[in-house]
Amino acid sequence: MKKLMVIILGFVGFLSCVKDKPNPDLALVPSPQEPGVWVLNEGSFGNANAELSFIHTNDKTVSNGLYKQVNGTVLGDVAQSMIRIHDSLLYIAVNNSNTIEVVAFPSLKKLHSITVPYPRQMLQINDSMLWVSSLYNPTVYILNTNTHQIDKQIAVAYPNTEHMLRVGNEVWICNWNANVQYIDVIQLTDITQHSSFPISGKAPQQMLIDANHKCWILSGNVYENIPAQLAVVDIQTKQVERIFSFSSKQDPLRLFCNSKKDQLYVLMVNYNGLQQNNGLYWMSINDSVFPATPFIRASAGSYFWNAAISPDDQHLFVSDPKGFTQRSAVYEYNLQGSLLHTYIVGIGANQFLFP
Amino acid sequence: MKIKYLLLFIITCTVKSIWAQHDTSVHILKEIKIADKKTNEIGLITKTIQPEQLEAFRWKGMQEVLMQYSHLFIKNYGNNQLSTISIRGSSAAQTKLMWHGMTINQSINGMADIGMLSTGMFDQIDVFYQTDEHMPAMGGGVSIQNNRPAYNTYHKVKAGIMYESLRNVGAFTSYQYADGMMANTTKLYISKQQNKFTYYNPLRDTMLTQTHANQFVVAASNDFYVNIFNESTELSVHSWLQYQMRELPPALFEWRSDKQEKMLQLRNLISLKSPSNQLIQTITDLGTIYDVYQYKDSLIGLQSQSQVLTLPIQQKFIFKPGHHHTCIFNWNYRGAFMQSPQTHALQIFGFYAHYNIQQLLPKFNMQLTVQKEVTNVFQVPWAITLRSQFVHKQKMSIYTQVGTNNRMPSLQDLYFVPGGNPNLKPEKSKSAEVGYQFKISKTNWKLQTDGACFVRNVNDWIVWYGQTILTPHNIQTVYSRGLDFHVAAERSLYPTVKHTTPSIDILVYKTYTPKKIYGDLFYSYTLATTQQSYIPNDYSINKQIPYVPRYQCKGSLGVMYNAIDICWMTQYAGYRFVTTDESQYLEPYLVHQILCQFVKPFQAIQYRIQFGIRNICNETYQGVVGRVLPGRNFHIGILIGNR
Repeated sequence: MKKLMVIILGFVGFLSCVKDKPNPDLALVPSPQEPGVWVLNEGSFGNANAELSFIHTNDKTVSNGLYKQVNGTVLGDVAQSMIRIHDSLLYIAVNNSNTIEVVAFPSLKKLHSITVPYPRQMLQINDSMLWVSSLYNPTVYILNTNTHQIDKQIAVAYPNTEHMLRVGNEVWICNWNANVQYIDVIQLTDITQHSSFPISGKAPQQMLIDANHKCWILSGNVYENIPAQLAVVDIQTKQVERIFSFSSKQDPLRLFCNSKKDQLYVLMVNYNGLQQNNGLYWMSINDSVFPATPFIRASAGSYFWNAAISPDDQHLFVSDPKGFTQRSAVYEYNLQGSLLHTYIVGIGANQFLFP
Repeated sequence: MKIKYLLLFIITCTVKSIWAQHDTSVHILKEIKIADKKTNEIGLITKTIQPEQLEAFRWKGMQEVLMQYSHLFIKNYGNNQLSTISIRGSSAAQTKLMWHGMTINQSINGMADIGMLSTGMFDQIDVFYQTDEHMPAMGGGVSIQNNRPAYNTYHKVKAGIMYESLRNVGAFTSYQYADGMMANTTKLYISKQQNKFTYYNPLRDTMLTQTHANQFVVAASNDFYVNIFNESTELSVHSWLQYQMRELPPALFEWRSDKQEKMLQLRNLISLKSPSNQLIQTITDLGTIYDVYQYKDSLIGLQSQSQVLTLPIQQKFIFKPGHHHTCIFNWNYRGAFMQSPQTHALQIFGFYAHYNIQQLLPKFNMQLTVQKEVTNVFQVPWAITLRSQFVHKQKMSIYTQVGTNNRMPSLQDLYFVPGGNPNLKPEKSKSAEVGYQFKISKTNWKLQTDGACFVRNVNDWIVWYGQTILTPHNIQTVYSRGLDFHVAAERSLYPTVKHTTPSIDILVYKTYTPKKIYGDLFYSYTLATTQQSYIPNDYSINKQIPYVPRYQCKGSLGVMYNAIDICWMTQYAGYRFVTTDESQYLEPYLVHQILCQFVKPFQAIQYRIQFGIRNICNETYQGVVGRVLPGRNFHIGILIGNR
C-alpha cells in the first residue's frame, strides 16, 4: 500500500510545469500630444475582441487593449470602421454588436452607445450629421451626433450599403450587392431626391477622388463569381472613362491614395496565402495599365488587410491579420517599399488613424 | 407381455409421487443488482462510464456525464447548445463518436455534436483516450450503444418525465423484450426547452434574461437482436432517428438573435455476427447515415441547407489460432455523398490488421494494429499502433502504447463555398503513452486508480483562417503532452455479504440495498502548443491552442443509504485561450452540483425519483466566449419501470 501511495504521489507530483496564468497586454494610454498611429482592430468574428491600439512612433512601441483598459469592458464584435469628429470624439462602428460606440478622443472614455443595425462605414456630412451604411440592410442611417439618435433612414434597392463619398452637394453610395451595377446618388439639399448612374462593374464597394477630380470605384465579389473592376468616373458627367478589369483569380480589397492624390494604392488579397495576386499595388492615376506585380508582396501564407500612408512622414502602414486567430502585425514601409519596423497590434487590424 | 406394459402404463398414470420435480412451492430468488460492469478497460486508454453514473445523468445531455466522469473537455456553446469533444488537446474533428462501432461524426464537418444526445438513450458509453482497435481515431473518442439484454426480460417497460427550472421538460419511455432467441429495445425521448435564465451582461452592465433559446428534440431508437441459423449466428438491426430544432440565443455582444438550426439524422445499422467459438468469427456491418442540416438567420436573410448520405460498410474476421492469440482482419468502406448545397463525394476504403498476443511472456500482453486507407481525394499514409501491457494478479497493470494515425479533411474542409480547400492533406500524428491501472477490492471497500502520461505530435493540423472568407489550411504542428490521473473508491457502511435465509420461502421483493460512501477524482494536465506554423512570424508558437484548458479537475462524493443516494459533484476548468497567441482568454470556473436520488421498489414497479441542483454557488461562467452558461437551477425527474 505504501508503494502504491508513492507511485500515486509521484504521478500527481508530475505536474504544474506551466503556471496557468495568462500574460495580458499592459496598455499604456497615450498622452494627447503624443505622436503616433491609432489602429482599429476589428477582432475575429464571434469573439468580441475588437480593440484599439496605439503605435508610439517615437520609441516604436505599441499599446494594445486600450479600450478595455479605459472602460473596463470590451469594445464588441467586429469593429468595422472609425471616424474622428469634432477632433475630440471617436465614432466606432461595431458591426456584429449592432452599435456605434462614441468615445472621447484621445482618452477613449466611453460616452455613448448608439444602436444601429450592422453598421459598416460612416460619412460625416456636417457638425451634427453622420451617415452610416449597413450590412444586410438596404438602408443608410442618418445619425444626429448631438442627440445620438437616428433621425432618418434612406432606403436603397438592395442590402449591403457600403462606402459613401461626398461629392459636392451629393452623397454617392456604394451598394455591395450582386444585383447592383450603379452608384446611388442622394442630394444633400433634399434627401428624398434619389438618383443613380451606371457603372460597368457589379457590386460596387469603395470609392475615392483623385487629384484629377476623377472618382475611382472598386466593384466586384470574387466569391460570388463577380469579377472585380476598377472604374474611373468623371464626377461632373458621371461617365465611366476608364476601366481596369481583373481576372477571377484577382481580388482587390481596398483602395487609397497618397496625400497628393496622384498615386493610387490597391490592396489585393489571396485568402489561400499564395503569393500570386497578393500584396499592395501602386500606380499613377494617369496610368492606363494596372501593374502586373505588387509593389509590396505579401509573404507566403499570409495576406494584407488594410493600409494607409501617414501624412507626416509619408510612411506606409500595412496590416497583416495573420488569419484573425491571433494578434496582427503592422508593417511600416517607406515609399520605396523598404520595411522599417514591425509592430504587434490587436486582432484584425483594419484601419489607421493619424492624429 | 402386453399385459405387463398395460399395467406399467396404468401405474404410471396414477401415481403422482413419481413425477419428477413435483415440488410446487414457489422459490423466489433474491433480486440481483448489477453493481458494476465487467469492462475491457486498459488503464486510461479506455474508460466505461458506470451504469449508476449514466442513470444519474439520464435527463441530461451526454456532454454533462462526460464532463463529470471522464478526462474529456467539452467545448460547450451553451445549455443544450453545440458541444464538441476535446481529448488531450485534440480538435473536435480529430475525435470520433461511434454508435455500435459505426462512426457517426457529421460527414459535412467531421465533428460530433454531443449536446444533442440524451444520456438516457444509451446503455453504455465508453471513452477512448487514444487510438484503439475499437476506436481508430487520432484523438480518441466516445462509443455509445444499447446492449442486448444479458438475461430474459419479458415486456420490460420504463417511462418517466422531467422538469427543469430553466423551463425545460422531457419525457422518456422504453420497451424491452428479450427471450432466449431474440431481444428488442425501443426507446423514445422528447424534450421541449426554453432554456430561460437570468445572467449579468458586462457589456451592457445589466441583468438580462436569455431569450431565443427554444429547443425541441425527438429521438427514437430501436435495437433488435435475433439468433439465426440454428441460433448460432446473431443478426442485429439498429435504427436511430433524431430530430432537433434549436434556436441560437444572442451572445453577450449581440442585441438579438434570429438564428435557428434544424437537424435531422437517420442512422441504420445491420450487423451479422457468426459464432465466436469458431476458428474464424465474421462480423459484417452495413450502415446508412442520412444527415440534413438547415440553418436560418432571418435577421440577415440567410438560409442554408446541407444533405449528406453516408454509407459505411465493414467486415471483420476474427481468427484465434490459439488460446493466447487473436488476429483480426478488417476491410471497410465509407462513402460520404454530399447532395446539397453542392454535389461532392469523399470515399474511403480501408484495411486494417490487428494482432493480439496474451502471455507473450508471463503476465505480458502485446497488441499490434496496422491500418491503411485509400481515398478518392488524397493519399493517406499507413497507421500503426503497438501496445504492450504487463498485468500482475489482475490487480495492477502497466501499459505502453506508441503509434501513428491520420485524420481526413471533411467535406466542408474540402468543398465549402466560399473558401474550401481541395488541396488539403490529411493530418498526421505520432503518439506515445505510458500508464497504469491499479485495483483493490476487499469485502468492505474498493479502490481503483489509473494514470497516464502521454505525448502526441500532429503535423499538417488543419486550421480555418480568415474573417470575411474563411479557408482551411494545413498550417500547424501541434505538440500535446500531459498527465491524466483518476482515483475512485467506495466503502460499504456495513458488511456486504452476510445474510441468512431461515427458509427457502422468503419474502418476494425483499431486496438487499447497499449502504456505502463513494467518490472519484479526475485530474488532467494538458499542454497542447503550436510548434510550427506556415504563417510567417506566427505569434502562436509555443502557445496553448484555443479552448484546451491546461488544468481540469472533477470530483464527486456520495452516500448511498438504502433507497437514497446523495452525491456532490464539482468541476474545475482552468484558463481557456480564445486566440492562438493567448492574447484573449476565458477565466477559470469552479461549479458544484448536488444530485439526490430515491430508488424504491413497490411490488412489481420500481420508482426512481431524482432531484438535482446545478451550479449551486451561482457561478457566472462561459463555455465559449460570449456564451454564458446557466446559474443556479434545478431539475426533478421521475422514472417508473417494471422490475
